[in-house]
Amino acid sequence: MIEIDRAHIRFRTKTGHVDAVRDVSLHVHDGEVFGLVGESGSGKSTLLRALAGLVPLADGAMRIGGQTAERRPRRDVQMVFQDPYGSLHPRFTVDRTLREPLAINGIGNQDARILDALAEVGLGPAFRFRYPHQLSGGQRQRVSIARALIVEPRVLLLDEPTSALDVSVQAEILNLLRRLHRERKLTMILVSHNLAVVGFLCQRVAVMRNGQVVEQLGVEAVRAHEVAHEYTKRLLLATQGYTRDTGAIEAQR
Amino acid sequence: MSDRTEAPLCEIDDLRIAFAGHDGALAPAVRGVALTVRRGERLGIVGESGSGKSLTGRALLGLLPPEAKWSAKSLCFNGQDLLAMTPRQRRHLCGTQMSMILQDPKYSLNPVMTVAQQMRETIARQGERLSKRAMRERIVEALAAVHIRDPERVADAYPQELSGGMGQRVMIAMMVSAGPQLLIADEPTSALDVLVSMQVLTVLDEMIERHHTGLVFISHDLPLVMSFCDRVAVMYGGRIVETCAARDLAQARHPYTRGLLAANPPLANPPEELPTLGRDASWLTESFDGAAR
Repeated sequence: MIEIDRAHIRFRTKTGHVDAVRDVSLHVHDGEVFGLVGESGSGKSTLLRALAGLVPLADGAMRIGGQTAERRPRRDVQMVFQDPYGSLHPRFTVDRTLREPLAINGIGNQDARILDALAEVGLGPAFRFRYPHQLSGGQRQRVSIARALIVEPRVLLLDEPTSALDVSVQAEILNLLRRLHRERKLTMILVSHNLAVVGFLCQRVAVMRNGQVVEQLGVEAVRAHEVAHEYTKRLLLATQGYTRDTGAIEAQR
Repeated sequence: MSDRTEAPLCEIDDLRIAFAGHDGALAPAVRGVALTVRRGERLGIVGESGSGKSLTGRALLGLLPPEAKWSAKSLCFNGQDLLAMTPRQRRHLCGTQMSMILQDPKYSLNPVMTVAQQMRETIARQGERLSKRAMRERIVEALAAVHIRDPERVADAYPQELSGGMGQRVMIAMMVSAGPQLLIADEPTSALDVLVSMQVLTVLDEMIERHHTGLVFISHDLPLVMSFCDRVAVMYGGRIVETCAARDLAQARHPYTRGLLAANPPLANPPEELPTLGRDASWLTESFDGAAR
């Protein structure tokens, strides 16, 4: 479904350029949930944005369902962002937020679709005419997910969808994403720095560092702690909470 | 560890904080919180957003927003009665005997001052008069103590030139080098990614150990608090619903604490669906006993 072949992403800076993603090749099957983990600045979000067509590739190729970013209909790939406080227009009601992608893509029967989308993410019709400031963080993230799903995409890209939320709300959103995956057979890519979240949703995981994929593995291997790369081992150790040696201060930046 | 017979470092009794709504009615945010922190103890306060944990921390320092209506039966620190102090006296305590680390170094460091300039202010507050060179040495020393590899360079950097983990270390260097007796860390690692936050915690661990500082660690991450603190207070709706030793938290009895623990996806054998937290109105009013103090 998603083929990334030796992708290279480069940003210009004042003094030269920085290679945010270097020589990354990934294949994600149809209906699979794929996890991308790594520290901030490792290029995982950039890779996701490139898949959505928001960042140009310097080299390499990316195909979704066999089509490149320029040729593919935009609605096929939708994205959910990290911060539900920043990604919804503060002066749009939920109704208007959901209506816009429908209007852009020329989809009819809008009222029924809006109600369906709300119901699907577990929000009642009462939420339809509310503004974002009248919603909690979890409810906003549900609206973001509804906005992504309303155009019936084939691929859903999730950029840290739960890291701004409380654990109890995170559990609700993770359950929702899992149900959507089961019911709609969506292909999803989940970016997170939390291996436990990735382990809950994904079947396969790629670990990124400094713009490169250092390891790709199945989720069973992660659960069984059978990882090869030193960096992945440290990530796994960190999921068990603080111990005096997890924080070993060699990697100063 | 601390001696049980000595007086606690700080004591809060029946702290109440409320905010006036649009219609003038008071909406309570903290309702009758009682806490003690002993010298050298690490107390974790956990709870969801809006449970009043940050407000409790800020009340100790006297940093509540001016519109907050608050009262307490007693608020003691190091044998002094904070309620009887003038605002000026309380401000004097901040940065010398008690200090605070906030969530995001991007917002808590001053963007138009270099690290050295900001640290100079904090060190000057401690009342020592140092020559220019001695001050510089002190700053570089404090930065080196939090394992910043190139303290000379970092001292002359502006906050936006530093990564999140580095910024948080600068914050710790600034707050802990004074050797405060009480440190309030409000979600000190939530804005950082996993490995960096472990490094920052190591630094924090070392510093409070060295200075025998009492720590109030505010967080919503239960597993983290369990592994970092000695004792944990769980807050819900402005009240402490349960207090227990951190190592016993996994056997916590209160349904709210159990719900929070279960909501974390386990790495090994995650369930088909995560249990979500059902909320019970009785948690807001009824006192819960059962967990050992």
